[in-house]
Amino acid sequence: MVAYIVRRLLAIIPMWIAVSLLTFSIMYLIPGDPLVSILGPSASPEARAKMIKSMHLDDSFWVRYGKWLGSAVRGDMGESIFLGRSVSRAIADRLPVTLTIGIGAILVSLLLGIPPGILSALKRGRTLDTSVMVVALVGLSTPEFLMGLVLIYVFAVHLRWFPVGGYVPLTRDLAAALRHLVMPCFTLGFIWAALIARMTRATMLDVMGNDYIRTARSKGLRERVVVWKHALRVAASPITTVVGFVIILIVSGAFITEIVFSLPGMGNLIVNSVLKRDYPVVQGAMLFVATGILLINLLVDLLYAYLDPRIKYD
Amino acid sequence: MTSGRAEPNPRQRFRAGLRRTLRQRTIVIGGSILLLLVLAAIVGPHVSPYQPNRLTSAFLKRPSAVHWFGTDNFGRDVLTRVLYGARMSIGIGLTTAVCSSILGTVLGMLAGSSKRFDPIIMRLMDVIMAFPSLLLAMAVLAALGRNAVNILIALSIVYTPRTARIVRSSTLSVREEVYIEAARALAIPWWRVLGRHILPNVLAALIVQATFVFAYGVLAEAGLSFIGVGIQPPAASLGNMLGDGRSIIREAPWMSFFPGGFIFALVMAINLMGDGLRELFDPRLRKR
Repeated sequence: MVAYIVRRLLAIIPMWIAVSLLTFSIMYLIPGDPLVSILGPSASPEARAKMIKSMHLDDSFWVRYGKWLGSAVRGDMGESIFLGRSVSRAIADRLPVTLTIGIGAILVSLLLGIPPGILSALKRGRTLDTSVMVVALVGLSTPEFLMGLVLIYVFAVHLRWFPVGGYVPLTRDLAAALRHLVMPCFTLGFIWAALIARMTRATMLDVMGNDYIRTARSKGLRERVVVWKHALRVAASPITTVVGFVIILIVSGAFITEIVFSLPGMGNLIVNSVLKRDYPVVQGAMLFVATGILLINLLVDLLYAYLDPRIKYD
Repeated sequence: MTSGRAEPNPRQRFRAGLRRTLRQRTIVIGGSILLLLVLAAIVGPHVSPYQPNRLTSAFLKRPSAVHWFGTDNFGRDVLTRVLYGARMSIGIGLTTAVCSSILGTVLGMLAGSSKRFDPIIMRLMDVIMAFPSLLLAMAVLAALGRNAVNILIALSIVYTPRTARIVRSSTLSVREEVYIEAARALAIPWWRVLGRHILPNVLAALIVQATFVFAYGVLAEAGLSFIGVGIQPPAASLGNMLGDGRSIIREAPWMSFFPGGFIFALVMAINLMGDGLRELFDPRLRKR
């Protein structure tokens, strides 16, 4: 197992370098003079010279890439053009918000996805199954921004149960923080719960059709034991893969949810940087998020190998 | 070569295929809703008495017989803008599905049939897939500029790898079939083997994937426009209409809910069709 983990970790390095190269190359897609795009056509020669120096624009592509990557490995991703602080600092400030919503959304998606998915498979063809699948289809077809706006309209504007938006750190006031988190977490979590429910149902149906389940039943085992001990253990690994995939989708969806609920997270930082063409922040945040996703994928692979003994480590 | 029983002619085959398709309820329901929405988007703007971008003094009027979906904060008719926006969303979603299908098929078939290109193409696809789709699309738009063509380029780049992966794995499995070996032994050029023998076999998986990319494309365009990175005002897009309505949802919920409802119905119709097509092409799924 240790050798397998080391091998998977080593395999990530070339992938990470390729990801960083793509991230850095995107700057080169800018048509025309990048300084005009960043500073505008009327920038003073001094401002241009300062920008050329700070972004190493007088070096060749590979030299610049090497310098950027070298600094990034040490946690230094350059200075933001508009925020007046380092990219790493900006990310560190915003990350807790995104992580909090992300973790909350993952919990919501697991709670609303896995149990209904299992129940739906066990009650196949009945009203419960149909209802769960209809709700799942609605979830999959609802964009985060629409779900967020509907929740705001019903629960914040009309019922006044929750605030319209904003963020309170968990450490400052727990009750207020949770009230601010309910709607964003539900918005993100509900949509991906739909995907988890569908996949859980399909996987469970697949597993429940196997011979060993029939054997377990014919031995006279109670249905609860058959489901919990025999079926779920096998269904767990494909479900883990979907959950890993959903975590990545939640990272992606968090950008929009943060805008809907005016949360000062990574998504808000990236969108504002894209709108202002603050390229160092866009690049830094892209590299940071992609690195996170590579690590999540690795974790899912390892968990998959752990859950499914049929996977060989060599 | 003659077989024992008569081969059905193309017309009979088409009828049998159509009957099988129509038996899938999800395809019929999804397809009908989709057809209705597409027709509304094509015909609607010609029938509407209002201009999508003309400013009037009829600000924030509630839905009524005059303005079925009400008016926005610039006095523009929301229904007319929804229909124009739907054109944009459907156009971008559909074109993204077509472009990423073509690119994905070419790359996937190349990777699946050539050991030399396989690692290069698939690693590139892995790199693209390491980014959340919306983030990569935003970065491409930040670099290229924000307009409909660049959204299309960004989304096609983002959704090509999934198609390429599916086509590659189908190509790999078809490649081992005896008839492909026979074709190779007859010295039939590789591009002909790909086009005549492998492509028809990957078509089913490709159509299902393209349907889902259509839905992703609609959602992604709406998402990008909602956050202000996509279609720029005053041009109407379902996403930027929702974005405009967000700040005044208390006063004018119709500004958000009508475009939102259209996106929801559109994506649900496409998803229903995708589910139905997947079941149609994959007999193992039919019994579930």
